[in-house]
Amino acid sequence: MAGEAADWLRRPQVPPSSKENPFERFGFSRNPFPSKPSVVIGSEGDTLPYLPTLRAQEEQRFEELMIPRPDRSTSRAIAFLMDYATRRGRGIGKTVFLNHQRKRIMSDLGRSLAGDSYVLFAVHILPLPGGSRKFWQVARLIAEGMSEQGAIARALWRLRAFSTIIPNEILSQTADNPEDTIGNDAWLRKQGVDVDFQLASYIRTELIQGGVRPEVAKALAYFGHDPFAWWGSFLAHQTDSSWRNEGTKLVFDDLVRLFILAGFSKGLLLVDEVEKIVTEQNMQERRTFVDLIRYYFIDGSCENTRHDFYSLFLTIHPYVQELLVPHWEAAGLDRFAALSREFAQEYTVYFHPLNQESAEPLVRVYLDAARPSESPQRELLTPFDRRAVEEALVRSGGVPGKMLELLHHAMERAVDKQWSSIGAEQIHQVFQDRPPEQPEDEEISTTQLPPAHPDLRGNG
Amino acid sequence: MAGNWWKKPESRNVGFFIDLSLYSEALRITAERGSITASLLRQELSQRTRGLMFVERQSKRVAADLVRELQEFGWLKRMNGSGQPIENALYTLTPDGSQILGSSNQETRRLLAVAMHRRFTIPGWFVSRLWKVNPAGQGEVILPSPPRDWRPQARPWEKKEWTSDLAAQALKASKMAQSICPGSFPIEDKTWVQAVRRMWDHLGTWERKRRADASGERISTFSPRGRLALAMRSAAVEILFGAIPPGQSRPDIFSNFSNKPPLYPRTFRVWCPRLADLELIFYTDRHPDVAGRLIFPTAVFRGEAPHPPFEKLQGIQDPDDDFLWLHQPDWESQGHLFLNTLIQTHRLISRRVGTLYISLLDVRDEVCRQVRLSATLFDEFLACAFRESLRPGATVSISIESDIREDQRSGSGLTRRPIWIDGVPYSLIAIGKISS
Repeated sequence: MAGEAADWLRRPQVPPSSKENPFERFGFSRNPFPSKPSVVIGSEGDTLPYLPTLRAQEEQRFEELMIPRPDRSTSRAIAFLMDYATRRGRGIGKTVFLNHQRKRIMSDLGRSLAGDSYVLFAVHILPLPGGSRKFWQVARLIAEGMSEQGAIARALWRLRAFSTIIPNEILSQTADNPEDTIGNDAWLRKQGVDVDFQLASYIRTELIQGGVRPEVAKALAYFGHDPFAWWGSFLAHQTDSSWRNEGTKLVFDDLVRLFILAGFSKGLLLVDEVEKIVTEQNMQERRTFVDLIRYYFIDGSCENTRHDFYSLFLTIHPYVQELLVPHWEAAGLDRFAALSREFAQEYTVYFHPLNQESAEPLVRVYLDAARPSESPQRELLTPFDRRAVEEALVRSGGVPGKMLELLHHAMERAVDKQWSSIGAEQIHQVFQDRPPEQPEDEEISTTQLPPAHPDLRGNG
Repeated sequence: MAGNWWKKPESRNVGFFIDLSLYSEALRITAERGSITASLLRQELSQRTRGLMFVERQSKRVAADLVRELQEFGWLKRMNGSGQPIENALYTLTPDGSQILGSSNQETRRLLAVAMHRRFTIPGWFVSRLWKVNPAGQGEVILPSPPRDWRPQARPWEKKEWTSDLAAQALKASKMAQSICPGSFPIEDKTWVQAVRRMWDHLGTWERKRRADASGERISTFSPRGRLALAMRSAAVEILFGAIPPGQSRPDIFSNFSNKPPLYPRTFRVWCPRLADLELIFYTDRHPDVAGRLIFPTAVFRGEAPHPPFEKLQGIQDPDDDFLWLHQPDWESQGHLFLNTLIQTHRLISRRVGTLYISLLDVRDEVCRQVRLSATLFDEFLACAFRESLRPGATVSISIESDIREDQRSGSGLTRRPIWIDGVPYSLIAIGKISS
């Protein structure tokens, strides 16, 4: 019995550090390539090595379309991120790209990108499979994303700072770590700030006078500075019914007013995997959804359209474009953000395929991340050679995610089989052994079809 | 050969299955077990897909037909007395059947084509007939369907009379076929409309089906579009694939004057996919520009032909003793033509649809028509083109996706042959230039 009690009370033990590292003979502290090459926002996977030069072209286009700057005309209200004939949409790196853009913007609220004239925030939104087909469900995702990723908290920190209630000498201590200082009631109280009555009451009044509904203003003033508290006190209490009836009012009126009061100029909504919204919808839902995008982002009667506040950046999976186009055109959205035909490129960031020139630097970044800083092998491809990387690139269809996975397995195999180096032949072997993949009304033209090229009665 | 005629088929009783891999799997199972019965074979046959439709188990009839055909081809032989019903009779491999087991997929397809031709005469005759119907268009034939914009309301079951609207739609369909592909439907208007009307009236005599739900009630309405499409298909098969070629006065196949046509609409449904899998023809019901079934041969009867791109199929000769030559170009010599046609077709459809990613199946249908490729060869060529596009220095980028399109989720779209590469079915394609 004592043994059983010990078993059910057992906690996972940290493995002894003396355990042999099988990758050491290659000069690595671990397998340099991830077993799960995907990004989970806010988790450890969020820190996958990112090579900015790999997507420099796409980043530049993103800035042109989405980032407001005084020296050029306005940014797009709606723009798209789409594969440029790069084979698999999944694993190409769009999520990593979006996450990186969000981090760039949030690191200084867009100062390095837009200059001092604009204060920006960005939210990365991941639709839930099966739970995002209605517009109000997407509005809820936006609100939750703003909360979890700290946009609302930052707005409240700014409101607190602008309130003049917190003395300058206290404010000067908050710059490096706002979350634990101006965003922390206990810390403020310790500094002698009257958080509960004076500060919260002031912000509440400001918000109400700015047009935010009183119940929302109250929750924001008392809990908005802390994402967990805001979740527990407000978001968690919203039922499906209240999201359906008032969710759009919260996102497109109340929160816009909050952000404007907090001195933000624009909010970027980076929506990933739009196919999870669109492919679930039936025709009527799709049409309604697109109509509502027009209403809430272009010319409907709400605070967002009055101030052109949110910019929507939609990640379009190839098939989604075809599904959305008829509804997009019927809703007249093509005039504001062309999803198809000749003007589409004016609103689209195209994701280009990896090639040999870009694949090698990406592989080096991963290899170096697993090497000691003093390693003489830094910036080398060893144990791979150039042909191995080329083979991996071709075998994975130019998709970074798949290539990294293939290289991960190649490293594992190299350890098992005691390979001293990994060439094209070894990559080919690993690829061959991979498990099989699972399978994933117009007027008739009377224009004559072109003739067949070969003449089967001639020489073919 | 019987004079100028194709020989009389030894049998018209073709099995109602179209997946040719069933033959080799049945032989393999028999070899592993030593002997087999039809009912045992049914249990042992693996799950498979037809298009994108999952087929968990073959029917009893398919298993029985499979065993019967394998016996008729001389690849299985019966071990016990002939008195046994076919489900329980024991079969074992013949030496010829054992030889098939060691063959590659392509060799098996060729052997099957010859075996089927010997037994049914249809494979060679069908290719020859396509060439006879439209020699100037290299055998391109269209079996018209009602125009896509004609969507009449359901009619009460009793209201089955032929109307001027039905006649107009049938006529419009044939004119569209002739207009888009001259010579593909060389039938006089009067002959055509009369044939469709006769079939329409015949379909009107059918008994009403019962609903599939618990009520079991008989259905009370029918779809005029569906019925007209069926009448048009039956009429077109009767006219184009009867014993007498259109526009001629003598039969080209020995019929023993029994008035039995070489093909019935029902057997036509089986033969088209079989012949397409054998790489003798290509057909599609969903070509973006054609309302109806477009069929063309990917083989030709001739005395001699250069190899490559032609491959002689020993064992199938026409009444003039010409051999059947399959158009089997290789990537090295025809890759550039394929790639150019692929890019051009993608560009045209993409411009019309307005999106970069378009249906790969639509592109496939038109590319195969222009380059005269079988669907199997298209898969191989596309895989080559795709790999080439990933090599350093490539000027175009090709993207293929495996999403299931909405038009593939039901009806004939579900059974439309996808493009298979490395065991994965693909359905979307985008082609773009690679910027420097």
